[in-house]
Amino acid sequence: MLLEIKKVVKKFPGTVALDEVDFNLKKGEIHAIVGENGAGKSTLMKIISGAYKKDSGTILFEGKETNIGNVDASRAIGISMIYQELENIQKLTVAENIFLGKLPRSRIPGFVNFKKLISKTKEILKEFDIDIDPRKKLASLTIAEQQFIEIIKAITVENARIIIMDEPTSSLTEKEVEKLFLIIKELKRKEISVIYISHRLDEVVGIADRLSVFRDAKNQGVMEKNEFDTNKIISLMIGHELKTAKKNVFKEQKTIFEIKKLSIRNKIINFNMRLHEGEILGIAGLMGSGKDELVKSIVGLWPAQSKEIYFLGKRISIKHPADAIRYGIIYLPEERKLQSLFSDMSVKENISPLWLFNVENKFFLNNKKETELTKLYIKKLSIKTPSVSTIIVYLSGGNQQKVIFSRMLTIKPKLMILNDPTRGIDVGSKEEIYKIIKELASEGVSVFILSSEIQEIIRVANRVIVLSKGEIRDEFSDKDVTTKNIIKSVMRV
Amino acid sequence: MSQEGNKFTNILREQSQLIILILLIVIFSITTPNFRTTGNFVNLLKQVTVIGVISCGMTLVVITGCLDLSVGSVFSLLNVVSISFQKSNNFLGIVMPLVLAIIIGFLNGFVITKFKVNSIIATLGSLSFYSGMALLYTKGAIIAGVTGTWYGFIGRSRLLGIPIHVYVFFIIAIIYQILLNNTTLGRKIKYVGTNTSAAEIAGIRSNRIRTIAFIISSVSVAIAVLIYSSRMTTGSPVTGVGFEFDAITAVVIGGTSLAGGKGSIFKTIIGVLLLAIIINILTLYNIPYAFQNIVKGFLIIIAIIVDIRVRKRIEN
Repeated sequence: MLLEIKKVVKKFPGTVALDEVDFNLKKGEIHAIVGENGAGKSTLMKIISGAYKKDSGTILFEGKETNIGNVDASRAIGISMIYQELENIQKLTVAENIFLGKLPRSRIPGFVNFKKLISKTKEILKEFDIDIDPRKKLASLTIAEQQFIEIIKAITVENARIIIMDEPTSSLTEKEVEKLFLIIKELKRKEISVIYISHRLDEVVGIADRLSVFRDAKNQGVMEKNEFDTNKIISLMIGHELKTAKKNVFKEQKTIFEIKKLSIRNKIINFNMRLHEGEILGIAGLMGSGKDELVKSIVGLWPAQSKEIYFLGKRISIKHPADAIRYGIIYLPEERKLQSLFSDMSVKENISPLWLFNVENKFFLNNKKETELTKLYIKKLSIKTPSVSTIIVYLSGGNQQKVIFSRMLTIKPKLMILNDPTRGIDVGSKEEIYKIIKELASEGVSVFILSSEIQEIIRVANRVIVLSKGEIRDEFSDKDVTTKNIIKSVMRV
Repeated sequence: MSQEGNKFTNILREQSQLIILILLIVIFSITTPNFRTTGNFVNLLKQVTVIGVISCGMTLVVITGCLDLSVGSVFSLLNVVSISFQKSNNFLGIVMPLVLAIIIGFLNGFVITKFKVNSIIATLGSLSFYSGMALLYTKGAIIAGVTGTWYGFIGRSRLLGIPIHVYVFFIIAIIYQILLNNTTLGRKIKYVGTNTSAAEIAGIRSNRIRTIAFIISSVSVAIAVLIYSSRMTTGSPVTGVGFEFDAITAVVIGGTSLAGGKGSIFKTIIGVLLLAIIINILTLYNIPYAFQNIVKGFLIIIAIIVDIRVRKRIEN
């Protein structure tokens, strides 16, 4: 065994991210890890690569106990993580990036031997059968090519013996995926081990030698290549089917919202969809499936090449969120702190903006009315805050999100587009948010919901569409909205 | 610490500029007999009105998270334009700078928001552009207007012994403070400055709000020009040189954060007065002019360091 992880525990305030996890990696093997978001995969990788420290448990590298304290220590023993957001320096050339820190010296002190740098780079690239000019600036390469460069840098210059790849194919084309797999096979031939994390089961089954399934902060089981079975993997991932809370039986009523011929450059071609009154529509899909761009383009936050939006049968034009708000279409962004909160302003000032400029709509502010409105929503959504004038950042994440929900409710929305509505909030608040969403729907508000957790969509949605490469791959409604159906559909390549 | 004690230290912290201002007035009144004369106080107020009005407009721009470096050269340009028209027609002498200010403010805002240019660089460009225009307009000469007309009313008349333009300054400050704290426009300015993308998602067109702030800044410069020109009845293409620095210093010393989102006109006025008193004392003690610049430079750096430290403490 090259790497052995035994009973590693990692806790964060309020949650156990890793609960006595075992994991091992052989020399020269490709070991895949699958599991839903929040299952513990990323936490374990961060411990291996030195970004987090474990709370307890042991890590053995070549049979010797090692304490990987930080990223440099991890690199030093030959563990290299290829991040989703690439770390390469865009303004330098391919050759300079690969040999960064170890540039061949010229005979004149302080100068670089460029001739040698280029010829050495050419050699390495040829070894992996990659056809890129070493003099090219990194910024001019595709994301896939940049990823290849990062892998090559890790194994040649940093002498990595373990390469960790987290969702490496999420933004790659089919051809690029093939190329990446050739490179991974070349790594295997050189006896370098690869930990391969992915949501795409078919890919994983094709490339991996062994596979671990993570769920609920534990490694649920390891399979050898001859045991790989997609159905078995999925049932390990899900555990037992959660009893979904009883849903309002949804009878199709009038269409409230319709998108036609939506196209977004490199993301979505000719997309059509309709939404009924009081319906909760979940949109599932992997990173890079185009779901984020889809909802952003609806409210005018992402440019669409073509887009036809019909609201209550009438064609409307939305170029800015302000246009959408006029029709009662409101968007909840995924990053609360960056895109929703007015951080050093009060609870009141965070609840009121939509109401002020769309309902009240007067030149002078009415402090009394604004305070009353705030108190009303603090009560309605049971927001825990010392006062209406408390600065928003002093509230807990869950209460902050309830403030943002209040903000949206002040204009009595017709359609709410919720992008990851419970990200980073505690379990109790999550339940409250689900309750709010369901209540709104029963009052006739239509909802789009996107989430990084598939379970969340299954909890609330009446209908789910699965998006892949900008197209609707599957659609499930009512009874068919089950974890198994959706995970199967999402993970199929 | 008790609740009461906390409250007290909070007031000390929030109103530290005001406390420093009062302390300085008390100290200088004791140490310097020339300082505590009524004449000196009136003189002091008279000197601050021009920079004061400009600083009020600048405050709004700073709250949106931008800076307007063009105010100095716009001042010079509007000064010579006002006087040149006033020679033939008082009314045009007043209207022309205001109209021009609206256009200039719009152009600043347009370049910054439409092309996503950093406001410091964009207005640095307009600073140079309008100073060139001002020089071209008079071919570098100082021009004189017609004295003894109602054009000189704001600048030269007094009410209860205090010059009219001091009242004008305070009225403008009050109007801006109400605009900022009690109107939807003011609230939008704060939202945009606090978090532009959250404001956009909440349906606020941040480009429009920033452009309006730049127009208000230029119009404030026009009002300052009318006060100045009315008093002097002369126009020079270099009168406004360095005004942008004084205005920004006053805003920052007052405690309006350069990060945007937070600030008040009231605080800016304290900043203007603090700056004026320090300069006044240097003058009373016959300290060479060069030292004024050294002191001002020192002050703005201290104020910015304090701003950054306060923000960090809040974030923690």
